[in-house]
Amino acid sequence: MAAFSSSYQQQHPFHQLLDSSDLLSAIDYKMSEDPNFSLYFYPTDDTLHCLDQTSTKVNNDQGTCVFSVTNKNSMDSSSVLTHNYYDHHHQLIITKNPKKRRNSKQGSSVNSAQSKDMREVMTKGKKQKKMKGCEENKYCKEGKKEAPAAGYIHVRARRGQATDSHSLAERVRRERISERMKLLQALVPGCDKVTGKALMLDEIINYVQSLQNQVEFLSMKLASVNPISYDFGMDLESLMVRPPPDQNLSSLPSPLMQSCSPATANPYDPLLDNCLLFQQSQISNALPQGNRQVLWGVDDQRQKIINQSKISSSSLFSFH
Amino acid sequence: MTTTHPKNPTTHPKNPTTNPSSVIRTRFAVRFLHAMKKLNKKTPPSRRYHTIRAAACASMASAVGPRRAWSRAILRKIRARTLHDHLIHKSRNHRLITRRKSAGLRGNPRDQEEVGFRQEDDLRGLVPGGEGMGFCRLLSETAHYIKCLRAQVQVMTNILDHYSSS
Repeated sequence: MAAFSSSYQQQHPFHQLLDSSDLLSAIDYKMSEDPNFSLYFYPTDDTLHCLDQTSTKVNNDQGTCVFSVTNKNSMDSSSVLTHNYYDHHHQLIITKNPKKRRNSKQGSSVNSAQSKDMREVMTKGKKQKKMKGCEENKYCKEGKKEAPAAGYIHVRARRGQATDSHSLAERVRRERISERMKLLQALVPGCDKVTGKALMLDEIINYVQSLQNQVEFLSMKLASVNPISYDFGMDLESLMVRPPPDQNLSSLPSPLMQSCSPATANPYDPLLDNCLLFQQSQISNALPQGNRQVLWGVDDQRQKIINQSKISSSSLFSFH
Repeated sequence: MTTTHPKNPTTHPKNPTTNPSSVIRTRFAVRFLHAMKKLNKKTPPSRRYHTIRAAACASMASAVGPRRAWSRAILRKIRARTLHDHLIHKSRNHRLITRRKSAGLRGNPRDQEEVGFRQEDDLRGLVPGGEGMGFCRLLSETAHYIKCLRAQVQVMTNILDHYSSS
């Protein structure tokens, strides 16, 4: 309390003028010690008037000053002052209300009630402020969350679930993860029997690894088989026969395979033509122009075959 | 000649399927065969396995295109390897990008709580370019990668059958 008054005096030199009068020294004294100050202080109307004047003067200068001075009138105990002092940082508008000062002349009982009212108002104000702040924060957060998440699932918190943006976002993320997990579960064989994300992930990892190993194995086999394919005549003839094994493969139950067969068959058709051409030992000038519309790789392949055919007269069949 | 002319339009129907997986399959087959043909001329038999593997990987990635993160990662790697002039520069950029991404996305401790960290890291190691992804992204990329690997395996087995059967 004493600390407050001293600091107050330092901050507002105007108060030092008032301090010179007996009244305010008495107030200071009372603030620190006497709880029943208002009983003998308030009957004097002059002092109040004086205070009023000072307060109005201060009002012109600084709102904070007004508040503290007027509150000294209505104060019953030092605890009230501390409360008000705490409040006057937050709510200065109330102190500028002239009604309060007029009411303060009517007596201590009224004043105490008034101060209580004031306190209530202030606390309410504070609460409202806090509420407003919260709401604003919420709106901000929701705005932040919803702005990027416009395309995503809109999540509403159910009863008992946390509603702050972090946990909402976390929930959205978890839902998305479980969605993807379901997708993967459908893809990976043997994954639907397993329960639990960790086991499912194990399955997925195993499957990916097995697929990669398969690719490695196949490329190894291709590398071992490849030398035979130096013979383009043989190779392309074999590709001529290619569609039937494709059909055989597509008889497997997988729908992917069925869709595969016409697609994979396509690139070989031009090869087939080129093969025939090659077998007839035709040169590029005689090539049909109708082939131009086929897949992009064809021209290149044809060129290669032709090159090969040029060499072939001497060396191609030596690879057998 | 006269026999080949009428054959062309009949044996080569316009691509009837609009299924994207089959499109990818076709592209992969074309690219891979192309690469194999090239390889036959140049590479010595000792390096053939590695080059075929790399060709399979690269043709898969180029068949998918830059839409997916994993294919982008492979393509980036290939580009960094092939363009020797820009090698240092690119790899530096790449490293920077991955570090930034990993710093941003992998710092979330909830990921590690929710799903065991071992599996997640294993999966990241398996899927190309998985180091810098969030867990959600990683899963979707894994799904696509699995599809593509399957297609790759199927096409390669087909080719192998044909080579070996002849």
